[in-house]
Amino acid sequence: MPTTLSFADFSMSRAASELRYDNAYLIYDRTGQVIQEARGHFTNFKVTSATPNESTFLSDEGSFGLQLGSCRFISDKADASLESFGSSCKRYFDIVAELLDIRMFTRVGLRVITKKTTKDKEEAKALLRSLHLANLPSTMRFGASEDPEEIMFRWESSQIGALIRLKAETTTVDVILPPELELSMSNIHRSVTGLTLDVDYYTVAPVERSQWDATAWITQSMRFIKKETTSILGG
Amino acid sequence: MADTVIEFPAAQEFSKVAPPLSETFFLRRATSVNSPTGPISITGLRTSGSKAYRVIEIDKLYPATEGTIAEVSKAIGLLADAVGFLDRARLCIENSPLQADRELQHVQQLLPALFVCRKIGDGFASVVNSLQFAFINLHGQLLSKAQVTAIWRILKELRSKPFLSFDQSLGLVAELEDANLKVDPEVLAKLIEDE
Repeated sequence: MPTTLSFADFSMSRAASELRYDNAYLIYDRTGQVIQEARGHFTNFKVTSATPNESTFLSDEGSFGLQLGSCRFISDKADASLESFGSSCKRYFDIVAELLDIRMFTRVGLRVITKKTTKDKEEAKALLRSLHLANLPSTMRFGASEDPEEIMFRWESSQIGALIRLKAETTTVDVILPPELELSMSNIHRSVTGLTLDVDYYTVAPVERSQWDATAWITQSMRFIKKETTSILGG
Repeated sequence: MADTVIEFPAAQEFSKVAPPLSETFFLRRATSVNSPTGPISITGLRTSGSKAYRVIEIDKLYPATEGTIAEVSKAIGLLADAVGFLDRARLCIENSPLQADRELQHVQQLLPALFVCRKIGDGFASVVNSLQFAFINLHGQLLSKAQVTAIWRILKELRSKPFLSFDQSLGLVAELEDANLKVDPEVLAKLIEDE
């Protein structure tokens, strides 16, 4: 009997939204203006790196990327419905599209990475296997293992596409603390094991700026992702 | 005695070395999640950008899903209904003006609901407001076929680009005026005359 899961069984780890467009050469003249505008819209907005072709920024809301052919907003503390994430995306993308005079997006994407923690990696692999997503008999493959620890599906039409990836994995975080802090511990080591659910929902056909609004699209896409993912996972 | 000449080995032709098979390494780009605060190791696949020329269909971008509360989805549905009524009105306006009038009354009834969705944007609100006044200023008079076609075209355009800017909306409003529709409140004209 296959295990059933739903999107609600996973907790949000990272959300990212990205716009791709034909090279916006106004980036060479107006990155400063983008920064100046964004400073007024986000808390503790800081420039982490700035080069002619690519700049990155950081704020309390999340991190930002600006490139010649794309821009993105990423948050590690996104709300479950992505409403506040969507509103941050709207503020940032509106600034970029306006100042770089972008009228057409070649691709609009929303990527959501969620995780369901387990005791160890074996439990995560067992959970993935019990979902019965891949119709493969359990036998040694490539001399590596009997069951896959990662499963990916992609659906794509001429208009819209989606990629779903499930992986049993351990994520480790190693931080060496500066001695100036004079803390009892000198480093932080943390590893999280579980099943990662990574969904990328994106447009294939070009999107006109007058067709798209970050807040409306992101929140609606998130509902769609939840519904479709839950149906795939059998929940 | 001459030194033994040792021939220097010919340089290897590195250019002839076969390049690694690109199929082994995925170059398909997914939506990037790499944050400047630290890359995340699980970004595996990358899909290429779009090369299609036709813009996306609005119904694909905002699919009607159960429990949708987004104003844009509501507006897209209402606009689809309005375009349907106008389609039928265009077909029968010459042979059956009464039937056409009935269809146009349905369109007019949808306008208040579209007005409620004006938060979508200034451009959207401007077109809906202009249409409201265009119908009010007709005082029950039947539209001509050219006027029905103009409204039909504008609503189709609004449906495919609901987030148009205010400046873009002015072009659509001008089309209504070109079709001899009065898009401003009559009281406004009187106030201007009084001044």
